[in-house]
Amino acid sequence: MFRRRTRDRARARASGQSAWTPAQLGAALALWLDAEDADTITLNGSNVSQWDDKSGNGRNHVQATAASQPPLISAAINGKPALQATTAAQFVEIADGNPTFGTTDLDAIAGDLHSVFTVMNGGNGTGFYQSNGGRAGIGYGKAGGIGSAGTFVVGLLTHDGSNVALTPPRWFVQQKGWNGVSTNGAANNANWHPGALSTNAVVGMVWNGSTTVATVNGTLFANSGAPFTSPNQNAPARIGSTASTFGGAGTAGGGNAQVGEVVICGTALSVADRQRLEGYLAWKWGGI
Amino acid sequence: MALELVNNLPYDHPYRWDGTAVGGQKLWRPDELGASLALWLDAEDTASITLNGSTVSQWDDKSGNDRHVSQATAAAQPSYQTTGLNGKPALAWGAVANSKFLKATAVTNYSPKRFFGVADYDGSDPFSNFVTVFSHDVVVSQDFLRSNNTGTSWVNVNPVFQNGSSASTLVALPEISNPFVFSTDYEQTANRPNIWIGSDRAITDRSWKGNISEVIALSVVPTAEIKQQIEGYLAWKWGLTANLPVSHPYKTTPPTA
Repeated sequence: MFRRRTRDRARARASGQSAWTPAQLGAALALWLDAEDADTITLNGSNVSQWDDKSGNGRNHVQATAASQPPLISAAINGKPALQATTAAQFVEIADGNPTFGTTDLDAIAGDLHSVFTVMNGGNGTGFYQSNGGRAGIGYGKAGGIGSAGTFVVGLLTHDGSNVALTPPRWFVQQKGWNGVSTNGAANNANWHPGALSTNAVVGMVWNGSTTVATVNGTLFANSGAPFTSPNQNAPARIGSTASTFGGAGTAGGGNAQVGEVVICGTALSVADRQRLEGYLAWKWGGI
Repeated sequence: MALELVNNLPYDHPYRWDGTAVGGQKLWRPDELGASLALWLDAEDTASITLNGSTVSQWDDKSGNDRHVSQATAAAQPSYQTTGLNGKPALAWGAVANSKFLKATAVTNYSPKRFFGVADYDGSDPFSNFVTVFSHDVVVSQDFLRSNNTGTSWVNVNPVFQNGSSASTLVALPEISNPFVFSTDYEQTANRPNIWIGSDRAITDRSWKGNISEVIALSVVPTAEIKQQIEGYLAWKWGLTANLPVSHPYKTTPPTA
């Protein structure tokens, strides 16, 4: 961490200006989790009991139960640290029935503007199978389950609702679920961005109240319309998991998905700010 | 791996090549060569490609010299493959000898001294009958990079380098069956008015057999450092660093500007 900060400062001096970070999003910045900043991680042995929010808003993500604390992998994403949801039972969360991020609770409805970006590894496809929903490695979720009427999930969908492996797996942004009809997870979202197991990506989205701009590694992809229209299901917000499955027991997620950084804004980022954030994350987690 | 996520950004993303404003670095590119850059064809830059359906009718020169290569006849146009070479874009000539090529005509003030590029050879058809990456109006045998008439070697009186190492005996196969970085010396003083990419001039069945993703020509003899910068740039861009020799200065880190 010290070396990184020193290098950033050196670059900033060389260029005569400060390097951009999410802090420069100002009041729009609602949540900023950064696994490379060891000062923000509270460890219980090698597992994470708390991940502090660097936005200044105190939206720390916690896990009090030792058995559910995700391990911190020191050299996960291009040699940098990340939290790993080895199983769907491992996560950190805002343990609130409906946490908000300033003016948004990540509902895909008019007036609820938001932007969510994460650096993650989608995992190996062994996440918890959720009947009618599928399997996924989850970067960030505020939902009752993948495919359900959950409000928000970003991650890598590896299997459809019938537990058939997607070839290839697909990076996805779920805003309203896919109606709970077995294969709809894949069928409705065939345009989601092709991915691969155990790969890293900068993945996220901007919701401006009426349309979604979803991107993987700076490339826009179609977040094809899903039929489910119940946008207001309330659920805790989690890293590596969803709060429950699609009406079943347990939680979706796991599969060794890894998360290095999460940024949430209570605004629809401009194209310029979205690209700055993508560039910042790409260079930090997959640059030189 | 270094540059993994940066290389995944779109070619025209504002922070793909210069990340200094967001805590990254500025990567070296051929435009750093200035007036020394005589020709620069780059399949990853889709803005430089004109498609005719799925085939390429024009490949724009990015050197600033407008030495664009084109082909009006659809049947003679190479196809464009978005993941044709190591998962990245390429112009594809196919596996079997044919009459496809792209050509620039009436070129002036063009007497290149060195060529660099990235390609691969399909390998399912013999490396014979002058399999050609590029050619010019032949005055001497330096005017092209092509295979010998038979066998496994390049025919060229000048050194050919593959993946940053000298192919001292001009042996091409089997190494070029995988994507490779090439460079070749080429020291002519006279202007070459015609450039053919993917064919030995317009001679039937002397085409390339495989993919070509980038071609760079210099108007001067580069220093050893610049030669290595170009090799490093190509290797990092096209995912070929594993092919560079251990001693190469850009084996583990890409060149920066």
